[in-house]
Amino acid sequence: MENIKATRMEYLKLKKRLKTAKRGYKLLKEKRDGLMKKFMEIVRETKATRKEVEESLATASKQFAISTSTVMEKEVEELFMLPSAHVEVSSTRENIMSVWVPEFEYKIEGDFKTYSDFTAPLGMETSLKKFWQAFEKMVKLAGIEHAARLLSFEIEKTRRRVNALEYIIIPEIEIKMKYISSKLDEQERAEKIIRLKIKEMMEEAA
Amino acid sequence: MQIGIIGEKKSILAFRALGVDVFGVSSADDLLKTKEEIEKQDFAIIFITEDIAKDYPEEIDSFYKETLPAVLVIPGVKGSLGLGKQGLKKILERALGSDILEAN
Repeated sequence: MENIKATRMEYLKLKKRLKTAKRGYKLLKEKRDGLMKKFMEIVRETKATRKEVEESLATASKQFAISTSTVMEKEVEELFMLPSAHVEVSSTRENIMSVWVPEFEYKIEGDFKTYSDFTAPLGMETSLKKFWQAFEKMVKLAGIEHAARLLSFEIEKTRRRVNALEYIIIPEIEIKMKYISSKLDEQERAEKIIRLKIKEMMEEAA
Repeated sequence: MQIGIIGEKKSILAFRALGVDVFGVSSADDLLKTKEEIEKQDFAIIFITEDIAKDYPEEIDSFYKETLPAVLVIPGVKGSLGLGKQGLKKILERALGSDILEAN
């Protein structure tokens, strides 16, 4: 409190700052609410999709593990040495309340079958088919879970800003303004008394 | 753009058949090398199996903050370790302060 200059100038400056802070607070609060709404939508979807992915992937990889359990790693590697399929992902960026969130679209070209049925372990094809099916959901999940994560960072930041404004910056400015205005009033009263005193003294002298 | 997958080599080889770039990882060094490789190229999505994500959490964490690539933890051969759910829980807690979806 001691280092505040109790002047009208300072008071006006603070008044301006308070106005900006209040406006910023309002805007940020709206941003937070907007982010939150979007976030909840995405999170619900993510949760459901993740469950699906985990289920289908678990069965697929289990089957894959079983069917390749009899062969060496190098042999499995050899089976997929020359993949004929190729995934092409394209991503577009969407702006959700100033957060850039990627969206993916993918295309698989070619066929996954790169091996001969005679040399491949049994059950290879079914497990690959399962992977193929799971893959679609995985890409979707990657997109939305990542979006949820990026949004959560932004929400955290925004919430901190909103709280800082609400509980620290705005009250601080208000206290300072109150201090200055009471100081100014005090000065005014003091001056008035001095003037009255001087008048009294002048009348006495006359 | 490409899709990549990081995990224990044998369990993720199947993804090569789908045209995904497979990075077999068995140590922290491997993971760092893979990361460098990934940064050099144009990857849109990186899948990481839970076994790897569990063993090297610090290395994985730094992946998360960028817009691209999107990083996704997927269950490995051993089935789900619940790491994905934990990740989701973390996200929720960061955003809301508590996990309000836990009940459903």
